[in-house]
Amino acid sequence: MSTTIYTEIVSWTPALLNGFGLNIAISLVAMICGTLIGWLLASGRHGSSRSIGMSCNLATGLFRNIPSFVLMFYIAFIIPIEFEWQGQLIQFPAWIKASIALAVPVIGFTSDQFLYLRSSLKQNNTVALPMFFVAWTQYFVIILMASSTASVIGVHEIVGRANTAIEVLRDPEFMLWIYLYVAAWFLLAAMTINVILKVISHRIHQRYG
Amino acid sequence: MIIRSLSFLLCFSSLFLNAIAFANSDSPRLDLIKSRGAVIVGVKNDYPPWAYYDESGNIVGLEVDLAQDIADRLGVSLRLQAVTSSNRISQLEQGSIDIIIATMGDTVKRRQQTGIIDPSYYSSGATILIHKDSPLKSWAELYGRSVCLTKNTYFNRNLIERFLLKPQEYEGTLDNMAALQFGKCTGWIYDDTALTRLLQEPRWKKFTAPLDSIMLIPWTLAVQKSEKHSAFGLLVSNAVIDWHRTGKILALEEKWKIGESKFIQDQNSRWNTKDEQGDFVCQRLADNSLPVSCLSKKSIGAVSEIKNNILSQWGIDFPPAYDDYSLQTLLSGISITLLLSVVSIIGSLLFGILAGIGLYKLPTPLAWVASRINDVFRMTPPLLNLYIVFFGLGGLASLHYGIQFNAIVVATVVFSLYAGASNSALLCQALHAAKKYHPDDSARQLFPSAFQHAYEGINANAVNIVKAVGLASMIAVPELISSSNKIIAEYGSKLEMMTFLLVFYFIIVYAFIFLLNRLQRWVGTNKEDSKESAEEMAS
Repeated sequence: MSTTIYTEIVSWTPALLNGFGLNIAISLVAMICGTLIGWLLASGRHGSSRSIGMSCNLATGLFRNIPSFVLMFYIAFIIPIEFEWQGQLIQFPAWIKASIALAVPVIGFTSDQFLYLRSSLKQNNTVALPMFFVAWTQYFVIILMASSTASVIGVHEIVGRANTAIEVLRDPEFMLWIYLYVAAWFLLAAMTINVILKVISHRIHQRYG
Repeated sequence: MIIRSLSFLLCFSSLFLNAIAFANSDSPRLDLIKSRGAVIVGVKNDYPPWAYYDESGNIVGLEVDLAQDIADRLGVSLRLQAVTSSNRISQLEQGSIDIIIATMGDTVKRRQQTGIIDPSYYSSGATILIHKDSPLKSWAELYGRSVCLTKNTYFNRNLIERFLLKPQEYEGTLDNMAALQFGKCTGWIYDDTALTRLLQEPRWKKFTAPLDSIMLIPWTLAVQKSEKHSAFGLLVSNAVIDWHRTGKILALEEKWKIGESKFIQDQNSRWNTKDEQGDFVCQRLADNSLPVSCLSKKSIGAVSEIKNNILSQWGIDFPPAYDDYSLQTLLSGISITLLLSVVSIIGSLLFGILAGIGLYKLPTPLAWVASRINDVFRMTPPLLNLYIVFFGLGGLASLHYGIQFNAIVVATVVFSLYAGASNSALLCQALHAAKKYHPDDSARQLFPSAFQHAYEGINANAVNIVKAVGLASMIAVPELISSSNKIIAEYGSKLEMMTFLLVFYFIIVYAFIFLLNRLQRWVGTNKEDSKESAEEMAS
């Protein structure tokens, strides 16, 4: 790597990190919204009504198996960029569309997890609740990885910003290095979270045996 | 007096001659033109070099030359009348002009309003001007990118919506050139006819327009709706066929320095193709119609009878249902998606098994290093890995060694490693777990039970591959998402294509889950069978 590429990467770093902040924000919004709806579905699945239970099961299966990348395209195409509501022009930013698309697999995942959690808690399994959070955080890492696809619907997250930098510099060598650099940030984030989770689950197992 | 009667006689005789020439003329318009001695053609006056005012104030251009040719065929003089896009059809239908030759695109609506002449005589579309160093290889790579556009161009809105662009709209050529040079946008999308002309100028020599034009609109002549099938309509239609056959428009493109367009080249060869008997493949049928296969694809799309299928009765516009080409595009997209899924799943299994056993067998410090390398594949987004290998490494390989990476191979390798790394981690864990119960067994002996134990996770990874193969569309693999986007870019049926895509993906994900479960059961029973037979043999 030549020094010019090194200095270029350093000078683009603040912009890239701001973009990575957006990745984290998109993923968090998707996780929180998805978890709430997943909890509702899980409550419906073991509720008293059979028809509600069936439809919640069906919905979970549906959400579990839709590829978020295809869904992101679908939402980006179908929801307009802006629309009028009661005489006001409402903007629909692309990052919200990305969050909606990423929330869908979260719904399927958390619906299953909540169902499992409830049955474990009924059997007085005390490890179940902390382990639920471990699984939840592991899924957050998966969603964070998937948030990189938001660049294709025009979200200016870290990959989108790297693409901008590539267009400005138009140097094939720089392109390779900046993509590797962006990948390194994802790797760093994922590994950090994984190490923390390993320590936590180790503690959990020590405490509850 | 004598002169007057003479001229009267002349007029009369010429009318008489015309009546002989067009003895069975069913065309009031043709009779009118003949008696008038001039054909009135509606042309534009602001569209160089097709039709514009020259320095002396005359309308000249490629379309004016075509108008002159029609007049020559009719044996009358040419009278030009300037029209605009908004008044040309009403002027024609009111009868103040005889023909429109005014850069008019073929649309379903216009076919309802007026007598569109088949075949189309020209075609324009959108193409992208990029820097020669740009790695751009396909339209699909533009998704979500910043792109320069010229303000108020008719396809801008469609382009932005179909490619989810972040548009930078500029007024004119110079602004767009500056924006391109400062890297404000990936490229400048504009009318291909205009861009081909620009590229001939020396100041644009660092730029290129390598992609095929999209959103093509064939240009057509028009006569009054009632005249479309009359002798007049036939004469105009035959003139267009003649232009394509003789290469007249190719010659005119050279004369007006437009550069040969692919559409005209295609038409030239299409109308000159002959069958074994030496007859033209494309020629007028007995009922005066033209074979559908000889018309340009988009004008077929506009022919309403072809769109008459069950789906369109419900208001659903699903191009593969009526257009053979988009059906082929879609089917090849589906087969590439399936192929990519199956090959990547097999690749991920092979890598998973080899690396899993490797991780298990390696001594501890080496295993630690190897599993961190393994983590790199697992914990980086597959989209980025595709970019790194295809654009990053591929770009350098082609720059330094002239090697072109194959996109499908790159995608297969990236997906195999992505899921394979997860598989190997699962298998290694399962092997260690199995060893606790059978400490003396070798890896080979432990493997079957470890694989069975890890199967659920391996299964999930396989399904994840199917969900992720769509990412390959970002490196120009012509799989299902790419081909759907291509059809959307051509026909604009967003909702239908996207819904199809979602439903189809849903079905194949379920199909793969079903098949993988079957496989697990089959492997399970087979193992029991072999156990039984082994026991039988032992007894």
